[in-house]
Amino acid sequence: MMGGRSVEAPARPHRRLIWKYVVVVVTLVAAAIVSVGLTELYFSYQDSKRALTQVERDKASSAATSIEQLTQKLLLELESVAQPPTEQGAAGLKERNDDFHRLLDRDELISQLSYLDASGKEQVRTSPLELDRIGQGPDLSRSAKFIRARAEHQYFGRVYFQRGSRPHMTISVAERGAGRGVVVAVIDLSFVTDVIARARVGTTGYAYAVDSRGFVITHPITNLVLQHTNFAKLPQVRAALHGSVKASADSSGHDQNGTKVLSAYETIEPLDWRVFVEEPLSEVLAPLKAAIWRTALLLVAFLTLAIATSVLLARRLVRPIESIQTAAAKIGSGSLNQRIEVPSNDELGALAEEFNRMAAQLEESYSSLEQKVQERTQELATALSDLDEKSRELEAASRHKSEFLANMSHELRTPLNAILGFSQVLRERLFGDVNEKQAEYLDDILTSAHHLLALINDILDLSKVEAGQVELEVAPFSLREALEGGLVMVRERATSDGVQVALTALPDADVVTGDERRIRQVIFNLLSNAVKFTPAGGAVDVSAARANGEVRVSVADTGPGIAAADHERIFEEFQQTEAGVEQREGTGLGLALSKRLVELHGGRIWVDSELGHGSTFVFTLPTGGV
Amino acid sequence: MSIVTWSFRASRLAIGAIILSAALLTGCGSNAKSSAGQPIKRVGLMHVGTDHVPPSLETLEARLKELGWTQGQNINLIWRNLEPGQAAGQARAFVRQRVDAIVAFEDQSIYAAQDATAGMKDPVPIVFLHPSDPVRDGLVKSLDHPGGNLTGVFGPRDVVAKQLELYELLVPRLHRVLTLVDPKDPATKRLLPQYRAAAAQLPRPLQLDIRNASSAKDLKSIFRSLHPGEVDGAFLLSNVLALNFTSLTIRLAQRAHLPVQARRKEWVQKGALFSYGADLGPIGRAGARYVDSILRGTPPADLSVEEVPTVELAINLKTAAKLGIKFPQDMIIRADKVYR
Repeated sequence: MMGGRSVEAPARPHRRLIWKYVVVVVTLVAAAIVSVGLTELYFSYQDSKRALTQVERDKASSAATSIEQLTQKLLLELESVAQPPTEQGAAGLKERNDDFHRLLDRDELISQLSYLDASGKEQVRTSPLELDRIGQGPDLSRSAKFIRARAEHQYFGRVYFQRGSRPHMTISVAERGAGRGVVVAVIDLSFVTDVIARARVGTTGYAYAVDSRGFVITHPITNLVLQHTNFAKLPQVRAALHGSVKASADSSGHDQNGTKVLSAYETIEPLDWRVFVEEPLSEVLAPLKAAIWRTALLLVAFLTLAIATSVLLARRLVRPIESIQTAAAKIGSGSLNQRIEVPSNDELGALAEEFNRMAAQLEESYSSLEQKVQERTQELATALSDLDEKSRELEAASRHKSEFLANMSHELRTPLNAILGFSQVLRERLFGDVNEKQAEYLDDILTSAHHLLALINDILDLSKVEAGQVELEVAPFSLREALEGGLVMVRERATSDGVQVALTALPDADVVTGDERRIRQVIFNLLSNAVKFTPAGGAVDVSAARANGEVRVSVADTGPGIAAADHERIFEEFQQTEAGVEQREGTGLGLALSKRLVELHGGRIWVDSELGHGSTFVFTLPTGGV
Repeated sequence: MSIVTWSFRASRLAIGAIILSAALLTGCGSNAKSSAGQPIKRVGLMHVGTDHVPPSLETLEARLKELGWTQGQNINLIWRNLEPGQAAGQARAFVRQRVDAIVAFEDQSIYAAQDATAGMKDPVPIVFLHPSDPVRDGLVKSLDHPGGNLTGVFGPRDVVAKQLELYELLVPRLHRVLTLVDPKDPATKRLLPQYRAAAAQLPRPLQLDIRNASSAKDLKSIFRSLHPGEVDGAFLLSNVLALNFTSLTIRLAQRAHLPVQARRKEWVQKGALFSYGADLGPIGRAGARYVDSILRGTPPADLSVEEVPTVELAINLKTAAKLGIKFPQDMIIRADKVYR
């Protein structure tokens, strides 16, 4: 009954809904896990960093203390040999040399010892590599190791690299007592290597020491020491050398290769060195790697769970919606007996019940509506049938009218021709003379008979047009000639009435296609009307031109004009203006016939006029042919 | 796809996802480790002087082990102790075998290794241990930046003057010293002036009886020709002689009832009166660092040469007693090693 449209499946709305659920749930879960994970990582990182820097600081401090103790021990040893010998002169110097030898044997950090007397002359030089020299040494009274040791009792020289290799430094101690000589020791700084190396932390951590200028004194990469590398450009070293703080346990920097490190340092007071304990930042992060992995795995696991849960949840929600949608689609396509089954007693269940109720009401309304439509359709069919019959009857009546008019015209013309013929013969006095009165009456008969004939001809033409019996004989013809022909026919009357007639036909409007005889009939009709209604001294202008794809012919007169109200009416059968009625000429069919003929050609005809200002009748013919 | 089929598949997907996530949660924290086998590194070690093994070899091997290089596991140390004439051939053999590094002990093997790798496009790295003087002898351009395929560790340079000083202190009756030099040894030219100057500068200037010797035969001939009391002690000055004939000289000196000095304590143990020279143990240990760095990819040109100027004095009381020499007490105290 209501069929015709097929039930279409819904365009997968449930899938889109599921993805919306997935996106929402996954976003929430991911945001929660990531934020918790990042927070945990951040605090773990900070704790780890803090703990590590503290360890580094402790190690650096411990190394610095060890070096300070070593230095103190060295100073004490030097003090022990910076005593006046028991003997004087050469024997005393020999005694010093022996003391020096004993010290050199005892402490392998000292690689050379010398004694400068109170005047700064080197009197004893003892070395394990060179011949001992006693007496007659060089004058070193201007050297810092002599001057500063005498002024400050002890002196620590700058670190230098002996013979381009290991770092060394000079320590000098002034003698106590009257002599005021100075004992100078050359110290092989490789001794600090082991002490510093012990300060390393972690598996990749390391410790090193630099002097007050930043030169590396000891480093696990021995090459850096041997190549006299200066670390003053490393940010942590620069900060330590220029800062006023003795130690730092919260600094980051980078090593000689640019690797980021966590660094702590401690200053070795008497020597003005810095001990650095460092560890690559990557090692600090290493313990966090496991946490990062754990968080990532948790993230993946919970995201998978979230996806699964959201899919299941979405399915539970989407299925009833889907049922409602399918039922709605079926109802939409006409299955009004469709009902939804949603077992849940929640909002969706209520929606389904409401929907079912609506469907039932719709079904009921629809069935009564159908009944009414049927009744109205029946009535309409009956009315249409009546209309058809009336139409057929009207058609027959019209045909009969046309046939009647055609027949009547023919029948009327036969006796009229007899009237005309005999009247003409009588007027021509072919059968004897007639008096004036008789002649006058004969003229009246002839005039009336011609008028009647014209009337009958027009009626015949009009009825033929209406009966569809007119067939145009279409062919190209000269419009100019047709116009001139028309003018010839009215000129005599125009001349006698004192009316000027003029023709303006442009060359481009010369040849047109149509039924020449009918167009001449139209032209003549318009011209004769114009001449007829134009008073003496007036003018009739005929013109033809081509415009907008059509040929336009206009006949303008200086007659009494036509009221706007009559512009349409005059083209109807037997309708005339008051002037026309007064003239008592014309059948009242000329313009109606002209209109029909022009329209048969596909053209139009109208009048532009105003009372007292003449009239212009215009008709058009399409240039593309009929 | 129908809704029912899709729902079924969605359920399976969801269940699968739950199982997967459970598995992932269970797997949290598990850590897999893998070990990758690496090719065994081959290092050629060469030394000239078959009558002894340099003490630096043992410390080198020990230190390498500490650094993670275990013989047979990840390193193959190919030890070759050679006669003087074999050095060049062995060095070429190492080069042919494309060992990863050559460790050359003492001048002769170092020169042989240097010659064998000279002109190579990608020369085998050489770690030298206790050469006389790496810069002066043309092994490296500078100590800081060796610049070639050689680098390593060297001990104290030329302590002949100090040896002579100690000789005099240890042997109070020493006046005339038989000095044995090899004129063919380039070092002789350098050492002799220092030696002469030292003899003159000593508190008790010494007389020198300088004799040329280039072979065992020469040495034997010299000792045979000595008259009793002609000299008070013997001194091996040239490096080549010290490296190759110390053992022989000790025997010849014992027979001639003369003391003889040596460069290392190992000879003192074998009968020399005393030795004063480099302690090779620390040099071997230091050398291991170079082998380690080179095997891990550092070019030798970038590894600065290290000096380990540790010297030690060793004395042999038994030899002294046999020769009737009485060491001063303070000298016995000064000695780092005393053989009784």
